[in-house]
Amino acid sequence: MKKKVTEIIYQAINEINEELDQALKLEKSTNTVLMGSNGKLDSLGIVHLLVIIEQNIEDELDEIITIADERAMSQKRSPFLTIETLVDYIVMLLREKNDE
Amino acid sequence: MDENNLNYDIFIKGNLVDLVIITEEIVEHTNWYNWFNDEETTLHMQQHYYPNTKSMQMDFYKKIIKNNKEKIQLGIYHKKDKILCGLVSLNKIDNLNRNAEISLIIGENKYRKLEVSHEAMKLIINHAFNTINLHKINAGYIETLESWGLFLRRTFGFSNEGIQKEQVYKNGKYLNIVNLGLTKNQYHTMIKENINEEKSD
Repeated sequence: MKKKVTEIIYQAINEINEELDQALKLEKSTNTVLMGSNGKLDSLGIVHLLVIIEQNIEDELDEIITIADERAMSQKRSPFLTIETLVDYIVMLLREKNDE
Repeated sequence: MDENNLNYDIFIKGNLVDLVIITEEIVEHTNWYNWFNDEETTLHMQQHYYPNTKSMQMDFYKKIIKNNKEKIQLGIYHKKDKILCGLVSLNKIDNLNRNAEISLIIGENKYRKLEVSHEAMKLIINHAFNTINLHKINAGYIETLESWGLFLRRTFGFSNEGIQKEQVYKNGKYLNIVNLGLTKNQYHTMIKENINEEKSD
């Protein structure tokens, strides 16, 4: 599952990189920082990326999940910190969905 | 005076940012006035029609902000970097109907991060509902800022309340304004749901 989610995120990064200047393009690595002072994306950019990921998850896994919401924002350790933490968060959301 | 040496009076304490009281010194010694001269900063705003100067900003402060009970405008102070990076406001506070309009600007490009906007919004919304006892907050955004609208809906519970068609002329086009509303009940339901979800994790 983790591998598939990582692929889906990289696919979304490809899409978003097409719109970004060279200096702002995101590297496809699990260590890539998304949020915080070292993150390249601004607030609108990160929401845009998360929405593309949600859409790709629906298209590829036939699951509807909401990644960008208050629940994610109020976690003590942000799930959007790096690609790795984002993968873990999405896998958790998908597991929860399947447990329902 | 260097901006970092300014004394900021904290009005609402946060983790990453504090909301501070705007003073004449802040108008005088920060880059605030210049945010409205920046094309990128104002891309999705009804600003950047006429140049803004420090003296115009001072007039605005004296006439519109100072001692105005219908407006609460606070600076967003980045605690670690000791810089005023934006502003958040409750405008047109209607004490009879208990509502107001909310707005936010992150003027310093480096701080245009989701966590900064989120905390500043959360602090002022909590103040609006839990301290000055507003019943409802309204927000509006130009349609090109849809990511921000989506964030407001999902994170705080705002709901769509209609569209003003071709209301604003910006970047060579007439654009729609999307109106959002958030009642105290909607907000508290959203916060409660998230607390419950966190507990069940």
